[in-house]
Amino acid sequence: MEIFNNLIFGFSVALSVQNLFYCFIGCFLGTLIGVLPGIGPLGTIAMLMPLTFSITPVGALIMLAGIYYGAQYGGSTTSILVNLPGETSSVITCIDGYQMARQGRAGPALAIAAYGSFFAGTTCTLLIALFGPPIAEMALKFASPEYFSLMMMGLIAAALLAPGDMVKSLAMVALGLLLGTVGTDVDSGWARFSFDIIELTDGIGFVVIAIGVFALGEIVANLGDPEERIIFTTKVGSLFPSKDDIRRSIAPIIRGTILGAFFGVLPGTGPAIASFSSYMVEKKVAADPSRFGHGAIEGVAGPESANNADAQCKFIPMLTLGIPASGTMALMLGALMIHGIAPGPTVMTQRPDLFWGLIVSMWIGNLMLVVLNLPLIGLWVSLLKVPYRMLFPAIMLFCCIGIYSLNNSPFELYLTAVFGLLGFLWMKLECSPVPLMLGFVLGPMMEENLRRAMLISRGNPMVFLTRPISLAFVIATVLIVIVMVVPAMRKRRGDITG
Amino acid sequence: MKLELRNNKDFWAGLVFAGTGAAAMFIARHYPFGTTLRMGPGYFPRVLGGILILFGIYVMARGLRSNEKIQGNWSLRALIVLPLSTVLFGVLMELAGFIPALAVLIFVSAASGREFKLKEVLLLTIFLGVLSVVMFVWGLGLPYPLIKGF
Amino acid sequence: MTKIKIVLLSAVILLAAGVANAQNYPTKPINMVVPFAPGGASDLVARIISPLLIKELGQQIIVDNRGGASGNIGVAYAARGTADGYALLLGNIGTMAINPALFPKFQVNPVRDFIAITQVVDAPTALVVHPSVPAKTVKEFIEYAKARPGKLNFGTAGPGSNGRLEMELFMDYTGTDLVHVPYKGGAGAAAIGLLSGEVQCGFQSLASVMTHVNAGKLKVLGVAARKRVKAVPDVPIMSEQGFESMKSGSWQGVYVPVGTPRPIVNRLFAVFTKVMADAEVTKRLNDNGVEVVTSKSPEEFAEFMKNENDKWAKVVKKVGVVGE
Repeated sequence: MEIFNNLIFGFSVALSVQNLFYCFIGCFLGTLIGVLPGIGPLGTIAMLMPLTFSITPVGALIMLAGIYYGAQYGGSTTSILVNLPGETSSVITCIDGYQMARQGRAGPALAIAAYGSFFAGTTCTLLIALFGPPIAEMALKFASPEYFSLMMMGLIAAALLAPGDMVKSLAMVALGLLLGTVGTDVDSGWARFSFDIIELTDGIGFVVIAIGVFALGEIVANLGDPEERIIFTTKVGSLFPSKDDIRRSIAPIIRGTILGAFFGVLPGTGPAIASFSSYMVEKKVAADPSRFGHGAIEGVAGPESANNADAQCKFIPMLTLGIPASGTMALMLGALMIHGIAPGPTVMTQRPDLFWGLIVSMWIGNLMLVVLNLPLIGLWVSLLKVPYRMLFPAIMLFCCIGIYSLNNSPFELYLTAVFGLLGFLWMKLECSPVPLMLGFVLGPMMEENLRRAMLISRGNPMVFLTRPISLAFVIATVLIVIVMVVPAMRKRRGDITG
Repeated sequence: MKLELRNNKDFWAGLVFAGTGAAAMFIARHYPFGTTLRMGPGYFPRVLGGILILFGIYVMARGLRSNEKIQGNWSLRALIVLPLSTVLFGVLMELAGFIPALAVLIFVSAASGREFKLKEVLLLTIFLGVLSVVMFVWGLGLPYPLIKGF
Repeated sequence: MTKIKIVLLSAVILLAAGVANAQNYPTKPINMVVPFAPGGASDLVARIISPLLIKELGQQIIVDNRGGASGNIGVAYAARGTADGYALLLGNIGTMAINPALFPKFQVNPVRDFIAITQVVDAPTALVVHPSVPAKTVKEFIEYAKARPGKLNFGTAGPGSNGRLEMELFMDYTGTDLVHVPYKGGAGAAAIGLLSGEVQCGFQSLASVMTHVNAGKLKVLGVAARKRVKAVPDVPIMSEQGFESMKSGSWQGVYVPVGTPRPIVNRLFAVFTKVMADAEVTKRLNDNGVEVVTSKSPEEFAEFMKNENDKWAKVVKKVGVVGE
């Protein structure tokens, strides 16, 4: 099979000592970046780009790619250990991962996250190798109406599946949507809710909210409850996942990979959507959904796999069609072009060494990351044993540096402080911040796509139903609502009559 | 009634929702609304604000009926000091440079905890300071002046 | 020494120090503000030229990314910089020529508050169309568009983007009526819209669409540049097709705060023009679809900038774009 030859060729490229070295450096740096909140792969790749000038294009790309998905691996580490999302997409891992850490099960959580990510990475590498170009072509069929219907479906499903109190969660979704409107409206250029503060015209950064609400809020809560704090830092169980853990994780990992691949290939979806969806799906199909939010390993296995699948598959539109699916991809594209390579349908034939070398090195990179991260689990877990009074200032420091480095802006820090206060408030009032984050992420995209779809159809709302893909999502949404709401209604009626 | 309200979880939650919704609708009152088919920038904010008010009132009413209490202790000191230290870091990064900013951050954060041992905090500051400078300024090349004015 | 001699001596020392300062410049690291987040097109240019700049100036160049508010945050910050040559700004068409018209209340006025040193690059923009549009030249496109007013869509990165304003200029000149469709997420998102056929045309940076053009997924009808571009040598530039005012795309240049002494301005001019003329730098920039364009003197650049300001102010006024 031709694929086989290509893969072998790819191996020969990727396994050169030089390229392996670059891969390692990339993965290592990436993990470090992922562990540190705020500083994302985008900023790092940009800063390190000049370094890559002196290396071969293949080597440079391998290193940059290593940084990119290394960051995904690293991001989950802090999410699990200290409720600090190192990456936008690792916010979901905080929910159950952190709870697992509090129960002394940080080791298994980290391990399952690594395994899941590796599985996802391997699968997606194969996917890219086998179906790259056709998948990318199909992804182009998605335009504004499809994106809107897809996101609408996601939002409604999320609202109905929200953890805890349904009404308050719905309200938090609405609040998140509202927060998402802060900033300059893309259609009209009108600045909404910016109060003449120039930094607000770009809206509120997701990282700012995530760190403020999750990390800061958590620290404040911890400092108020001395008893609980002591417990989680001294009781540390086994470092390895139990057989039961592994058994429970297999299906979520597979499902997460599929979801992540799906979203990764679509250029218009952002980060975090893959992991959010995976979490929702896992919660829905679980035998005992009430475990979620209290340390359910499925809540780590699924989203982490989805994360990694999403990250890898974002390469597909970039490599095969030359379309960057995200800011980081755009940067990679730029890096490629600096080295004189124009990605696109022709790159597979003109530079097979680059294409296949990169694909194989993606898999090698994943392998390296698992090898790097697993032994580190012991190190990370022992970090948890550090007395909290010394640990939390360190957390504060890394958060602040991370946020400041996004735009060299102190304003973002002020906003983080505000969200720290709000996060604490919501925690005490038992309003889960997860639906808010989802609303915040999906809201602006939904609004943009809705208005654009209407603009292009010249005000014809039927456009969502006449296009086949969009129609499929609409039907799915209706089905979800029926499946979720009707049993609840029937139950209530039963309570009344029975 | 007054004492009950103070700790009534849902009452306050609902109040926060309704208040936020009302504030949003008020601030957005001049944004062009547009029509449903061609939405203006004010459409979503006002609709969402309205939804929030409705939800808020519902939750408030529910709170008055069920009267669940707010759980757990909380540290007022941490609540004030930690966000403050975040703000201070931002201010000092601009005014004084990386090292003063991180030193103040660590000191002030540590002060919000229940235990504060000066020697420990000093050592922590030095350790974290060196680590940060090595990782961020030298390692990643972030352009932070260590101490402004030098 | 008599009092007079002391005064004279002090004056001479101070003067010498001033001159020496300019001659010794730079003696410490220089801060170059890029008013966009790392990874964007403007940022790329900064990072490509900084290694050589460092060599020429003998001091560290710190690339300071201050993104946000269409670049205004970075510009405001740079305007507060010291006027001694240690605070540079890498501005572009958006921040230095379009924003003044879009945001009249903004406290910084680039023409008034900065000294223009030299242009450094120009990223040509191109009029691209989806293959479904049966036009092979700009002229044919105009006819096609005139025949269906209000039916064709053009994609941009936002209401205030240079892609949008260029199209408004185009429509004004040709009397065509196209519908503006904005995309959040910058040029990349707009390019996706073009590829899927959701929008039929638009002014995009040539660099970002080259791969699609080469793959036959998009057509370039005209390029806004001073002369024909190597990447698409058969495509005439806009001024060849009757658009005299479209001689540049998305340009970038170097600025210092007003009040910077002339010797330093001259020194910076010399250094930047030398760096931009370097073959390696030129090659890297060209590979990214960016042309090296430098000014003959700071005055020429200032003149260019003023013309650009006037040009876009007219377009903004006509369209009535809402800024802040």
